[in-house]
Amino acid sequence: MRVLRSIEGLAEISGPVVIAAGVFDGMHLGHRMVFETAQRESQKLAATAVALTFDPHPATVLRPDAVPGLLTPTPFKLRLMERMGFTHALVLTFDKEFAALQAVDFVEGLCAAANPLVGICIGEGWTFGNQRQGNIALLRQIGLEKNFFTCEVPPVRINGMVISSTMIRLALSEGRLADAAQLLGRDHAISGPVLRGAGLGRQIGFPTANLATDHLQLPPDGVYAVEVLVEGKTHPGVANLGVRPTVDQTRTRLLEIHLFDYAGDLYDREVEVRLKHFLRPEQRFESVDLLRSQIARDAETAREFLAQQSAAA
Amino acid sequence: MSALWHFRTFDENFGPDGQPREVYRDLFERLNRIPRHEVHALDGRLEATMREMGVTFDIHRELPWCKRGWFCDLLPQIFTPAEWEPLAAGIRQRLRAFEMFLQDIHSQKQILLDGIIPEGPVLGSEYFQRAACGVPSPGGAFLHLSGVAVCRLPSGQLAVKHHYFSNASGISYMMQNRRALTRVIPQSFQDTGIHSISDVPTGIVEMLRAHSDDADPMVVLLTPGPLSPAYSEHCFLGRRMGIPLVQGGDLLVLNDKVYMKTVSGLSKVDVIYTRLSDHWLDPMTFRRDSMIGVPGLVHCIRKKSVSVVNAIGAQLADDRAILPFSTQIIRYYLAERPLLPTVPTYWLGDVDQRLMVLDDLENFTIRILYGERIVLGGDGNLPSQEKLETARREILQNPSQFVAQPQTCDAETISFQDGERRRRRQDHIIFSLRQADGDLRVFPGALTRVSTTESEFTSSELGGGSKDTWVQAGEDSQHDEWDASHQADAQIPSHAVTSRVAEAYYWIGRYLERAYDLAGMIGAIESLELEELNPVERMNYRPVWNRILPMLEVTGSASRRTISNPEGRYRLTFDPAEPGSVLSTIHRAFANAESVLETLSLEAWGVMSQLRERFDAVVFDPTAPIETLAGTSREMCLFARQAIPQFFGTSKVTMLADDGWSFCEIGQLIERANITANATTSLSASLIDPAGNPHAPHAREIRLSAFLRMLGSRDIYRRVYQMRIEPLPMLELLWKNPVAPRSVLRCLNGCVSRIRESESNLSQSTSRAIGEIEALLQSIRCTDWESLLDSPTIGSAKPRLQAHSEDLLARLLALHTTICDSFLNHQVLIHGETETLL
Repeated sequence: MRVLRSIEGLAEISGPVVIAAGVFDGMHLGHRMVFETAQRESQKLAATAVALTFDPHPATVLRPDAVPGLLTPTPFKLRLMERMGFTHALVLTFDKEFAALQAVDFVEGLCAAANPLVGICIGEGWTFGNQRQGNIALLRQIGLEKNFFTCEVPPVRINGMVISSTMIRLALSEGRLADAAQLLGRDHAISGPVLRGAGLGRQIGFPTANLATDHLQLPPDGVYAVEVLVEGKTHPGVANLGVRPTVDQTRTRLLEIHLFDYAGDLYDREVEVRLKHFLRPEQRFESVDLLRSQIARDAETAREFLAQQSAAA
Repeated sequence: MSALWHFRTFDENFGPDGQPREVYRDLFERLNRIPRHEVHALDGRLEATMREMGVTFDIHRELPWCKRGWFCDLLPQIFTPAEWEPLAAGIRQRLRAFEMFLQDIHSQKQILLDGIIPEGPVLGSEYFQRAACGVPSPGGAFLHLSGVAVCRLPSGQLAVKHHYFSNASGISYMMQNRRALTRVIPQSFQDTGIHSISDVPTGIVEMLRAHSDDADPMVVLLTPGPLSPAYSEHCFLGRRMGIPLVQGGDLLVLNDKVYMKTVSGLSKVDVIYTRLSDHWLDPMTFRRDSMIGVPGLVHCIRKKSVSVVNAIGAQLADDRAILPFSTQIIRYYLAERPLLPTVPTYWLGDVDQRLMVLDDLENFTIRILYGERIVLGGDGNLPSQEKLETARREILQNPSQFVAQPQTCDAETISFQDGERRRRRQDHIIFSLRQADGDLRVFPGALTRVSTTESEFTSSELGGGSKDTWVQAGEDSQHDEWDASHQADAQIPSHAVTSRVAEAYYWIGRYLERAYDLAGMIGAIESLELEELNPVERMNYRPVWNRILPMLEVTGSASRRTISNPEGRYRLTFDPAEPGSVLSTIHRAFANAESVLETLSLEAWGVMSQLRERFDAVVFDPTAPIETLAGTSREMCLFARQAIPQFFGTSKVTMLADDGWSFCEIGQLIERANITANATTSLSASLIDPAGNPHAPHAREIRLSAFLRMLGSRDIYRRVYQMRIEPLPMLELLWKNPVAPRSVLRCLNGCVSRIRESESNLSQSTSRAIGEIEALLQSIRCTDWESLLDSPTIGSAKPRLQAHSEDLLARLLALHTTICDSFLNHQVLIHGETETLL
């Protein structure tokens, strides 16, 4: 997938363009509906579908004291977009200057750069531009002048409730992984590069790979049965999310994963850890031996769970 | 579900009392008096007439051409004046409103700004062409030649089912149905006062010509080509309007103008009647993967150097998602009540309409927004549960791509099939024209589409057939009695043909001549085998056959052929896998003829079709008894020897002697010269007299006699020389006799005169081509065949006769390249009348 970093980058795409625009944190079922609409329309009009999003999350600029935990950091978001079949994404840097851009100028900029812009799809109620002046009405008004259609995709509801990123954050914070998965249309996952650690896991017989969790919306600390996607292949494993009170006094929150029957070197590789099932809360052990025994039991439980789930599927 | 199913349609022919409706009474009475076998015969004649006229609608291109003739029913559809006048007025009103709609959408979009219709179906339409905004349209209008599909609601009320405003597809079938039916049941026309539609092509071409300032504009019809199902229609229209049928590759944009490539250079094009969808029209503006458009065409339209009819952007009016808003559009722009209702149409992109339709799905026909595909219904049957579920799933996946109309909108009618009356369903496409003065003229006829045994759908693309449609003239109106003189074609000045057409004709000439010669050789051998030859004579013939054979070999042929046995000759005649067989060669000639159908006369096409059909009717079975193989080869080779000259003769008296025809003759002559020269060269080594062999002269005479017989020249030799066959006179006859039909010299002289005839002022490339041919002619004239025969070798090299013959043959074969380069691959030469390019 080609990632464009400025509005002018749209000029690189030859032929008409349909844009799916939004923040898309979570890439949940509601977002997927917006993407699918844009892709369908682009197919009909022999156009290129482009996913437009912002980095960082606009709240970091607009409401720095109330930034929500991220569900999908931008690199992960882009991977999910690519998986959905997008060939182009437009990631716009959201800083103070961009936040001051008038909504009209933003849309006209898109029109001027694309060859041509033939449609914009957004989720219902999405606003944009300085003072959030941009909305579906403005898009329609400019569209009539610039010859693009606007499509406001209605929200997706589950049990009468509108799917939203806020709802998913709440489910995660309360440890309701299954609920979050239902809203996301997939398991909640934490994605990022594997960090170099102190190698303590290897010393006690359970080599682990560590992932940073900064700025992420996390479920409760604890041990999870996980599936880890490494270079296109899924591996079963067990993970600990938390501050590792037995071996680390720095209280740094990490996601430690141990893959079953995996011997490769994971350092610096991008992995995607799908949280399948909560096994137990995090706890402090009196000795490393006790910790080792517990990890062995956790691994066994996780193995059994994943095997059962796999058989059921 | 079935409780909700309330299928009820209008009966076109019969009233509620079961008696024929007044308007059909006479026809039914007449048909009732005709015995069934005669009705069957009439039905067969109608079908044969359609095939003879070359009318097809090919929906399955994998099938051999002409397998699906156009179906026209014996029983016509009749509209009374009381039905027709309001219908025509309603169509005119609709066209006025949609013309204003298209103008508005491509400029101010006031109807959207006023919220009369939602912007989504308009700006999100596949047919909304942004590039059309601000582009000048011919005469300031989008719609010039339009169609509209109408049908009967259960009450009998006529209503609009679909717009074909941008593409009057089917207009030729309307005319062809009338032509065919007048041939089969002419009396009915003379007894019934109906409006004529014979001047439709003239009306169209007059309209097209009016869109150019030039007093004698070049008007062309742009077709996607023979792969289009309606190619037969494009050919018919091209022929009847007297305008060239061109494909994208025939046109070229240079210096902001569109040119047509012709054998004598480039000719400026002023008006294009396009049958291409906008998407494919210009790869520089629309779809970049279009291989059938004209790059730069939109730029030329902007420069006003060419007019394209219908205007780009007109297709938006045909989007089925717009159809439900017809009433609003008419009211908004005209402030009038719609005269003609629209069949209730529901766009499934709207949630409320979707829910309503899904709730009662079995009673609806579900169609896609673009094209003719039907997802559900449309066949008058209660759909199965499985079909319903499949359709429901497809709709829910992408609801905005579908519209729904009630199944009940197609009336029932009677149609004749094999002499039997059958119940069918029907609708009608009515065509109209915006005349040069802006008036809208609705042609008094229609393409009535009917379901058939093959297809329960009315749409031609889904296998439906048709009926001729009569519009009765009112008592107070001055109606046109049917008159054969009305069938005259438009009298429009002819123009030079395109290089593509000339090339196709060139190959028709070459392939037919090849098939003719090969059939002649095979036929001659079969005849020789029948004659009472002794084994020695046979032994003397066969080397000649096998020497001629290499010239017929094709590189890559699976196995070396032999014509020494009946099976080999049978294969060489009929094997479809053998690229050089008579059958394959005829197929190639046919494919070329098909690609220029619009320029062939119907008579010539009839001969060609018959040739192909007779050969295709032979079931290839090389395992049949030897007698059968020999008999079939003999019979069909004889047929080819009769039909091929018949094609050339018929063409000559029924077609314009234009560049196309000249190149057919040039191809024929070049091929004949090649075959003569090749055969003679292959024999040259054996012509040298082997000294001291007392039997040699007799054996040689037998061989030469066989040789001349295979080339169809034995009797000619005797008329010229009145002596036994000797090598020297034979060589002189075949190489340089000025009147012998097979002589190379005569063939090449013929080529030169055809080329000179086609150009009054010889261009540089024409002069060069003629120069090369004349140089070869000079070499042939100067050849001293006697001395070549007398001094057989130079040292250990090959005989001089053979070396010289091979040299002449090589130069002759090279003429093909000269002709292609000089005439058939024109890119930059410009016609003498047009300005010079910088």
